[in-house]
Amino acid sequence: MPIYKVSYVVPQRPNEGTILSQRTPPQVGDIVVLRERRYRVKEVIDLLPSQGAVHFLHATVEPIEEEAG
Amino acid sequence: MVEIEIARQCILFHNFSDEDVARVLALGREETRSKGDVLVTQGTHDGKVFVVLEGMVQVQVEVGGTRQSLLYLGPGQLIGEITLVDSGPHSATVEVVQTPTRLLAFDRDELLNLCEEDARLGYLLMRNVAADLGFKMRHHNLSVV
Repeated sequence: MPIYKVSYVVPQRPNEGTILSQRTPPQVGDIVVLRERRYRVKEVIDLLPSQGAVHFLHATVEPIEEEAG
Repeated sequence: MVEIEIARQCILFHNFSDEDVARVLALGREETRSKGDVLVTQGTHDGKVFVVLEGMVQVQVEVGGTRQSLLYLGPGQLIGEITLVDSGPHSATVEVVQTPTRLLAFDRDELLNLCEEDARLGYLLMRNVAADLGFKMRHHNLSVV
């Protein structure tokens, strides 16, 4: 079963970054919930080449609250 | 006992056989913690190492009397890996921010003893720890732009 180790980064908010492993990859446009906050995925790139079933991704996300405000 | 498949979420066990995973898991203790619990404290030498199985923790550093959040770590992530490499004090404070947060807790010296006893397994484990540190460094580099 694949594992996606994902680096989530919020531009201009370096202390909101999150690293976690998940079973499905994030996709552009997805809504992800990190610590009860909702973010929209803006970009997903391979941070490193995959190693077997392990994939290393970097996702740039933006807070949804900011869009509404 | 934590299931091998759940443990495999963590890069610590990458390229391990099921037998290797079981040997390392046998050294760990499963813990369930609540929001506000401090797992490790910056500057202390307790040699604790954790793997997050479920939930979320916040990594904080204190410099000049000011505590700052560095990042959050969720399932599959390693805590205390630096002390595993350099046997020094913890470089940051790690606090649980989600209830429940389920962890695998290890004693650094027990893991190091296993590495000494079985050089093949020790090489794999240390390579995976290095890869985890590398991933965190790449995350940090992309966080500051």
